[in-house]
Amino acid sequence: MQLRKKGVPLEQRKDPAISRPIAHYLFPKKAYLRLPGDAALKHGDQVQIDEPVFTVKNQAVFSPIDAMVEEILRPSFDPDHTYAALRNTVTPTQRQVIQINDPETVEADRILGFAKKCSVLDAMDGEFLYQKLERLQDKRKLVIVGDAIDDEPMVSSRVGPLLKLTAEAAGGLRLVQRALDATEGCFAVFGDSGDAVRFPKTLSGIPVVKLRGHYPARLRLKNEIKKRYPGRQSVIISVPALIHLYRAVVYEKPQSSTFVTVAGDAVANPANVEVALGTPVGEVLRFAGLAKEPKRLIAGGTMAGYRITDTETPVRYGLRCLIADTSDGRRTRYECIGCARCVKACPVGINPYLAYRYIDGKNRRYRWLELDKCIKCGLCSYICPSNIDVASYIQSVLD
Amino acid sequence: MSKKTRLTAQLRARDTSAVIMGDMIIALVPLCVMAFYYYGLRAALLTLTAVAVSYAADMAGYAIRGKLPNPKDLSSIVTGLIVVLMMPASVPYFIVVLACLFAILVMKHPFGGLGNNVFNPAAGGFAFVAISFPQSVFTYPVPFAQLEPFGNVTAALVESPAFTLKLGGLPTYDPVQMLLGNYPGPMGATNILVILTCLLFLLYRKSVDWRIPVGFVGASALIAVLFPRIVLGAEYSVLYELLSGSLLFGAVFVVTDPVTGPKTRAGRWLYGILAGVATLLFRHFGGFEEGLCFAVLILNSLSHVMDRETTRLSRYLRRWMHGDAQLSEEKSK
Amino acid sequence: MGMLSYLKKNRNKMRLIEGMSYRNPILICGFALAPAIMITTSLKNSVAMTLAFLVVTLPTLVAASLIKSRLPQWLRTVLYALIASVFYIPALALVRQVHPLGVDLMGIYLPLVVINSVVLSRAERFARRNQPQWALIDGLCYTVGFGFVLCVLGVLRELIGAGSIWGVSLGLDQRTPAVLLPFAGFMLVAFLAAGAQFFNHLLRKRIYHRQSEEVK
Repeated sequence: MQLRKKGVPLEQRKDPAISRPIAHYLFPKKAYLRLPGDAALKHGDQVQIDEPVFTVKNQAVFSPIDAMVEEILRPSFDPDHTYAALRNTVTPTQRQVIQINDPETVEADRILGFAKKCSVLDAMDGEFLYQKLERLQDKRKLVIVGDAIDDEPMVSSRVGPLLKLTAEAAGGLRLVQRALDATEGCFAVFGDSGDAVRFPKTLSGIPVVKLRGHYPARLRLKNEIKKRYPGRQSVIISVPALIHLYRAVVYEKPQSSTFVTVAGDAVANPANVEVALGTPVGEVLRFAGLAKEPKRLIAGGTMAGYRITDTETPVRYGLRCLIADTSDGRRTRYECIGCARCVKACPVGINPYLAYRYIDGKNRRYRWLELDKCIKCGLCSYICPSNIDVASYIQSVLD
Repeated sequence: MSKKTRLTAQLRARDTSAVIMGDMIIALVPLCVMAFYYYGLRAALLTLTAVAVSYAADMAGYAIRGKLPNPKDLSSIVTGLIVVLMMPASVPYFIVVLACLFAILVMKHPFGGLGNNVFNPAAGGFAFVAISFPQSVFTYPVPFAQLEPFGNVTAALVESPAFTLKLGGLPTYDPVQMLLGNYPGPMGATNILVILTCLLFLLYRKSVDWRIPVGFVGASALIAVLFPRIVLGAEYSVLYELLSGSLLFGAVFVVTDPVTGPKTRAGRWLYGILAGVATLLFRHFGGFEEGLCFAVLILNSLSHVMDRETTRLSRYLRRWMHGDAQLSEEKSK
Repeated sequence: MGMLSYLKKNRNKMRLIEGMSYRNPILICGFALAPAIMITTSLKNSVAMTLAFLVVTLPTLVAASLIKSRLPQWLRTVLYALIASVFYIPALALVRQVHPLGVDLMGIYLPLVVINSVVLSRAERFARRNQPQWALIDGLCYTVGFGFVLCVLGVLRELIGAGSIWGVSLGLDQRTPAVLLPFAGFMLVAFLAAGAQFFNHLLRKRIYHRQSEEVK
């Protein structure tokens, strides 16, 4: 029954971050670099920007900034791992970007090499891009989909770079098309933005596929692509990864930054910011300007994210947003009244009410509820009128 | 990242439980006003008594169970209002008190309190006093009769149309008057037009699921058409069956209780339809003129079973129609 | 678990009177619920039933403690039932004496007292392994517990339901005949059981405190 729009309508509130140009914060005063187990760095070492520092699983890890290693420590935000605290040694200067390779003429087999050398990572599923491309090299009849779906409210860390750095995103898509010998490519966006964002039909000559409906929209992506491009297998790569691939090929620049949406009522200048990896979250917020004292900091997404309490937490790949709110967000928790709104809201059709009852009552029957279908959209907690965090109950038994 | 961060949703929808209960109370207030209009001060005092007793019993129930009473919990007020609006305006005060106490302290708290009760407390309270004092609960004063505000009522009491139906006769009330509520019957259940308006309000606010009232009224109407108790014809049968007793009131407030009913869509359809059938069965063959409460109590015990079996059936149906490819399709996002 | 060890130490003393105190057959063990609910519509019924219970149970328990474990279990159980039915004859005569109409009023529940759960349970658990005098006292305590609950129920239901006690009308004009229906019996038993559990809870708390004081 696809008659009515599936999902729950959410107020998107992506403005003003989505309409502002991308800000860049690539010269933080401090950055944290996670070290592998053995001592790869020691106190006093100098690291240079975009130079490999060590390798993890045959993949080079690059330094995000020109810095000196100030301290090797086990920080409070992640006591299980060793980090190197890097202190920036150069003043922020405008780096000269020299185009090394021409994207129009570079050969297909070299593209993979660049992707591997520069450790381009697709943050959406955590897989290195060259591995994904290697797997699909022999397949025929592909369509490359640049994923810029941001269906969560306030977050636009994929669609923002698509709209503002269109040339790089389109260039990256074309490079992947050439590497995999695919004739078709498109960008996928979530259409119901609500705010005054109009998506053109094509961006740099690449068609734009708009997903209709409400949150969560990612589920319908595969079906939509199948409808548009019948008979082709879709290759879904997120737009920031395409941008980094473009830079890796053209400027041979390794991936050492990520795009973060900084928004919320406490932020003075909400925008999409390109942040060097490892930058402490506090510095990013100060860069965006804190108009008021934030009472809570949300990262990872507004519907299914987590709170950050330590402002020294470094920016990493999965941190799509930093929402600083002045309100605590605490609401009174009532008892479950069995209204079954969660059952109605769940997009994959598990029964969150029953799961909550079983898990809360420590009844092992939740195993029969097919809970691994959960896509972690967080709608069950969103819609619960008693403010019960149903999603976290379900997550607690899934790991 | 090694740190195990549990995914928690950070945004919340605007509706809260307090809002849901508040909506129910808002929907019940016009009925209280109409009861006051037709039956005077006594109706208002009975309503206030019911609300006060329910609230106090609820707080006492929490205290007996050793939990901290939550003063913002309005669900007991809803229960008290439903109980009293199904009674005639001439009912003695102690019966209302007894019904509310029974509803809260026997049907609600011993089963676990709010959200855990298996049986509908309002239906249970009314059923208890209906069995215990049938002559007080099933005889009604005529509208606009002068009723004493306190103590027992000395005015003449008549039978309701439901009783006439049970005897096999034809009620002599004009259908328009029945829509407006100008006939003897339960205090809150006679005002059909107001009840329908409240149903639309609750549907708009999404406090009730439309499947339950539609299934309930539909099934009742169907049974009334197929097995009429009036010899005149099907349309009269449907009309009088639906307008008499507390059937429409129950369809909106009693059967739609989210705590005691099923939670899945198919389960709710089944529950509504079975409730309609059972109510009419009780009316035809039962001992009293109104069988809604008893039917609801029986079906409440089957709510979870309805949920479980309908999901199982739909899962088998899905697997049979799509084959096992469905499972792998759902795994890949 | 301090209270358990205290109970274990004084086990023999407390166990003997358990039927009367903390292990009421109806309220805590859940035995013989059928008579407790169905026939307690008047005090006379309750007293008659208790007397029948007494006459049937006590001799059976004494016999059980004499038989001991000599026979296989299946045969023992059959034998208990046979002995109880033999003693039903004087029980019936006694009931006819005390409450002649009761034989019909109580319907099938009066003969069913022959195979009530109390006698079978106590015979297998206790009487078989102990001397006849202790079996007798144990059976007596259980009967007292049984009878107490039955009489409480009978008084309550007759008072509220029929406005009389022992058939003597008290002239109350407010009566609720619905209390004489089985559903009210179930609910009253439920509430009394909750009360008995509460009483046990208080007892355990007192024992625990006394035990912790002894330790100090």
